[in-house]
Order: sequence, then C-alpha cells, then structure tokens
Amino acid sequence: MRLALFRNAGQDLAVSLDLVLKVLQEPPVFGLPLLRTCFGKVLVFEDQVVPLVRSFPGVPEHAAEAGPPQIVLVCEAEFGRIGIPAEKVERITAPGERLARLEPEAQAAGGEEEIYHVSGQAYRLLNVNQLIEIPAI
Amino acid sequence: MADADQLRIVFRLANLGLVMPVVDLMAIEDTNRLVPPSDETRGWVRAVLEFRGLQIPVYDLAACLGLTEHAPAESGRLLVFCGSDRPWAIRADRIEGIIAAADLQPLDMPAYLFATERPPYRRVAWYRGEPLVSFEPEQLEQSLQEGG
Repeated sequence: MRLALFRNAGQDLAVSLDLVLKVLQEPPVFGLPLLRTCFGKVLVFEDQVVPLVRSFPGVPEHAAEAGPPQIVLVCEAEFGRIGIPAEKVERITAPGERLARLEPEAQAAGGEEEIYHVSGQAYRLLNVNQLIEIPAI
Repeated sequence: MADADQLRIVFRLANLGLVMPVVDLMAIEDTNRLVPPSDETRGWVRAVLEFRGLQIPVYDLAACLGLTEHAPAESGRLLVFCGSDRPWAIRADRIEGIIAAADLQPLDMPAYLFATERPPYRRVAWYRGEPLVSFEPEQLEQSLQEGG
C-alpha cells in the first residue's frame, strides 16, 4: 500500500493513494446552500461537484475549515467523491516503502483508527469511506 | 429571437448566484407593494403581492435555502412565476440578466451532499467560473409551499 502523507491543523495524516484522484493546489471553492453539516465548501472537479469535508477524526471542525484550503486531496470514496483539505502534502510513499502499522486504537465513532509509522513519523490513516455517515437508502 | 425555453434568468440572493428558466417567468416587480400575509398562509410565505388582480404569495427563498443571516437588499426585485395553479413570487437582491441556456454547463449534485432528502434544488449550472444554484420552478414551488 502507498500512502499520501499530509498535514492539517497540526495533525500528521495519511490516506491510501489508491483513493486519491488528484491533489489540487489552491482550488477555487464555493459555498452552496443546504449541504450536510459535515461538508463546508465545494469545488468542481472533472465536471462534478465535490464537497470538502469540514472535519475528520482528531481534527477540530473549526481548525479543519480555517480559511480557503491551500491544498485539496480529491478522493474517491465508496459513496462518491469528497475533498480533504490539507495545509501541506508532505510526500507520497515510494513503492515498496516500509510502512509500519502501529497498534490499532479504538475510536469513539467510525471504527478503528490506524496509525502508520513512516520514516520515523506517525501518521493517522483516514478511512475515506468513513469520513461521513451516509444514511441507508 | 431565442425561444423562451432557451433562456435563463440569473439573479443573486445574499451573493449566491441562482438561475431559473425564463419560460415560467411572468414579470419582474418592485417590492414596494408587499403586504403582510394572512395568518392562514403556509410554507415559506412572508408577504403577499397584488398582481394582476390576484393576491399571490411571496416566498422567502433565503430562508428556504438556510441563508439565515441574509437581510433583503433595499434595491431588490420580485420575480413572479406562473406556478402550478397560481402565480407566486420570490425576492431577488439583484438581477444579473437573461442568458442563453447553452451558456450554462449543468452539473448534478450527488444526493449525499444534501442535508435533506428533498432539497429545493438538485443541480448547479457552471457559468463564468462559478456554480449557480439551478432551480426547476415546479420543484422549487413545491419546496416553498411545504417548508417554513
């Protein structure tokens, strides 16, 4: 597995590279009415409206949404596309690079949390498919 | 001259861009003839307008869209639409103009974006570098009648 390592609100985070469609630098974002509270602004990517997640585990909502995003990781979740704001993308792990998964930690909501140790730094893996709760149809 | 079917009206509400078909637009009226609604009004009705001999509802679209901090612009106008059984109106802060539908790029909004199962809009229209909230008059009318 390869990871995209990034930083948001002082947190070192990671997402599976398989789920990252694009990393956008200072994309134009817009406000739209009546969106779910877990979403802030939106952007348009490949002729689709992509919502930006307002917060994720371990990152307070106000911190995650502070100002226009400098970077957005556009990800393909099981339910559709979402954007994850980031202050900085540190790097993409190299093919075959050793990723040491630390002991899983129980999380208050959304299941287990995975921590990976990469080159001496711990990164919390965001489960893109669990960043928001999709009501059952 | 383009058919009305091919035209859209672009207007602003609290700096939000909105667009609707012109084919259902009956008139653009001033806001200086509004009267308070009766106690029996429902939905997002916030005023009544006498229009061509009828008392028609004027809906608070800003409230329907959750724009709770919006204060109506003094220079606003009323857009009167023909409605399913009678005309109805909404207030616009600013009318930007009539454009060709072909100048808009419609973009669907996935259902998981919305906080409600039946939002008053399902699409945006990309126009000059921004998404405009795109309404279908019948769907919007229903949302305005049911909400509040």
